[in-house]
Amino acid sequence: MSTIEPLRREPRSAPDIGIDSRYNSLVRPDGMVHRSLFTDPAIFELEMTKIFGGTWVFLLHETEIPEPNDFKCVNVGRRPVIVTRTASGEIRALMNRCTHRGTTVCMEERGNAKRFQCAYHGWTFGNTGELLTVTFADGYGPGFDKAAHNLGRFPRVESYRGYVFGTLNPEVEPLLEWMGPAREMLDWSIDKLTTPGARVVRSSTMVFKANWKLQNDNNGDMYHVPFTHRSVGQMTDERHGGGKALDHFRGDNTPMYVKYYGHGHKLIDQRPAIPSVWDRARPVPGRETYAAALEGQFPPEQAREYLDMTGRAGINLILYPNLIVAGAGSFNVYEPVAVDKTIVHSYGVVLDDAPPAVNALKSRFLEDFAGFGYRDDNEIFERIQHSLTAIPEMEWVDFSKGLGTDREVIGADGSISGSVSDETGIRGAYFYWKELMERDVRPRVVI
Amino acid sequence: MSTPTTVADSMAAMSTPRNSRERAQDSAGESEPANRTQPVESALYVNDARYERLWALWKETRGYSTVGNAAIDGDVQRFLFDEARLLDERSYDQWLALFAAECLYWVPSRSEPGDPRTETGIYLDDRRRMLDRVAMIRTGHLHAQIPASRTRRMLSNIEQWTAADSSVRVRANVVIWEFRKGETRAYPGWQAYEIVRDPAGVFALKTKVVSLLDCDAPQGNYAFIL
Repeated sequence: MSTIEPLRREPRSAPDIGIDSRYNSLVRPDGMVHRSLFTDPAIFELEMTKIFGGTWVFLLHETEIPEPNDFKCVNVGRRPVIVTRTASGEIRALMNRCTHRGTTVCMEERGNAKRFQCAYHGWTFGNTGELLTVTFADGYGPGFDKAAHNLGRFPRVESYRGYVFGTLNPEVEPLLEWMGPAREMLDWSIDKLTTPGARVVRSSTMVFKANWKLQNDNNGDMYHVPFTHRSVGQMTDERHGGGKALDHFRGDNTPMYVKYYGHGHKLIDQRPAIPSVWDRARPVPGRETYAAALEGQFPPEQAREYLDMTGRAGINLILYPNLIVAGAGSFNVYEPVAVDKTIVHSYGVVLDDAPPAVNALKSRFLEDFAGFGYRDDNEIFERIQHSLTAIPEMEWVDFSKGLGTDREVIGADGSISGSVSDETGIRGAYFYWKELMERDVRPRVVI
Repeated sequence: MSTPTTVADSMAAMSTPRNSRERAQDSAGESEPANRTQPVESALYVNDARYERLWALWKETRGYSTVGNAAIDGDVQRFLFDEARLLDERSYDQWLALFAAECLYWVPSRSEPGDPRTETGIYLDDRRRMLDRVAMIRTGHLHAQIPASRTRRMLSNIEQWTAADSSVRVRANVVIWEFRKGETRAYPGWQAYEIVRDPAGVFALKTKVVSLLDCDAPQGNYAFIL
């Protein structure tokens, strides 16, 4: 097991890489982060190069392109990318840009295709990226190198237990080293679904007018829950009694915790306060009917295991920069659009080998927090974005909670745990942001 | 005043100011006596048969041709306009009373939705979850509705037919206009309705489906009831 870089509590001297050393002053050791990280279009542009082009980025789950020649279009940062499964089963990430004049070559969101033909002049590419056909090729002279006109391809694409990541930075650390000790939580999430045949499906997509990092922060923030989500908390208490949903967090006197893993990855672990996801879940449509079906069909322990697979509570694991795994069988992917605009894609799973009742409940649970929680989060992000943009006289945002207390503990694997309402993980991610922004990274494609 | 030391203390210390304007708006229209009785809240009717009926309604409504069928019934049109107006006025008690006890309210997340048992919608509410949605607005702490949205629903191209089980089916185009925080937005789409009559002949809405034109595109942060 590799170790991770420690959280730096002392200011570093400016690294010797020229202009980018200014990022050192924007993220301070005392937990203060400069507003320009959220408002400056130039910083956003550089993030698209240094973060979304400089480290591992989540692309998709393998079960979204299960068959040979399946493909799905995604955006990496803002780059349009076709992720293909070739005839031989290999997964490739191809820039969705014709090498002739730059046209987008694939307009379908997903599908099955051996070839992509550009609509402009008819050049045809295989799903490996290879340029197969140049139309009216007689017009190209001896200096034209067809092999130099394949679609741009990500130099590295790797899968970890179905989760596919890619990078445009050939020098980046190996995937498992990048994941570090955070891997144990991804394993937990995968192993929690005990039936084979988990198939990832889209659940919802939303857009808000705020910077992508506000969402990334928030998924590692338990502090906000009783306040931002007061509407759903109070409604649940009033209508469904105590012991449900959000009332497991009323302060730091709890075994729940946050953790920073390094490489920007962070965790909220709510499992110690949620012995049963099913027992704590707000009632969803069909709860009684489908629970009765499972309890009638299976022994009590197995019925309970199935019911606990239907919800999505337990952990928030954020793999920096763009993936958050929420409990078992659901994850969200952040897509930065502009400095003040972000799309979040939400996914769930259908368990083809589980009893249908499990899927009937799981589909309804995926609507629950998306409808009852995300609205208030997004409203808060938009309020923050407005204030940070409109008030230049107030430059700093405070992420210091937990700093300078005895609440942060360094574990044997190098990760740092904090009390559940502390900003330990968020702060760690900003230190890593600074490190990535200071790196001399030159993203590139393979032709 | 002592400094709150825990989240629980902080919450207790927070006043609970329900914005008075908000409260007034949320109960607008509800001082009038409702002329319908509120059905009992039930949660036991959501099962495979009900899901299959829901999905079949969507398919029938999407594909049905009313050419040669009867013209729109004035009573049905009035019922649809009532439903739209009560929602626009946020007269939720009266709005909920228009629905049958065993109702479903579906906002699919795909323009050609599949089986709702294996697909996640924007909403798929039974009566219990419709009441949850209303109760959440009424806490006064739904930040995404502070200030509240003003809405106006425009229904057009209303087509109506009677199904084999004698329930009334309606398909209509809709644009929901929303004004909030200085911006006006439009949510175009089409709606399907399944209307049943109780023994006294009174209409009740058994199913409503709101199919947004952009339902599979990233959804903005609206928090009024669609």
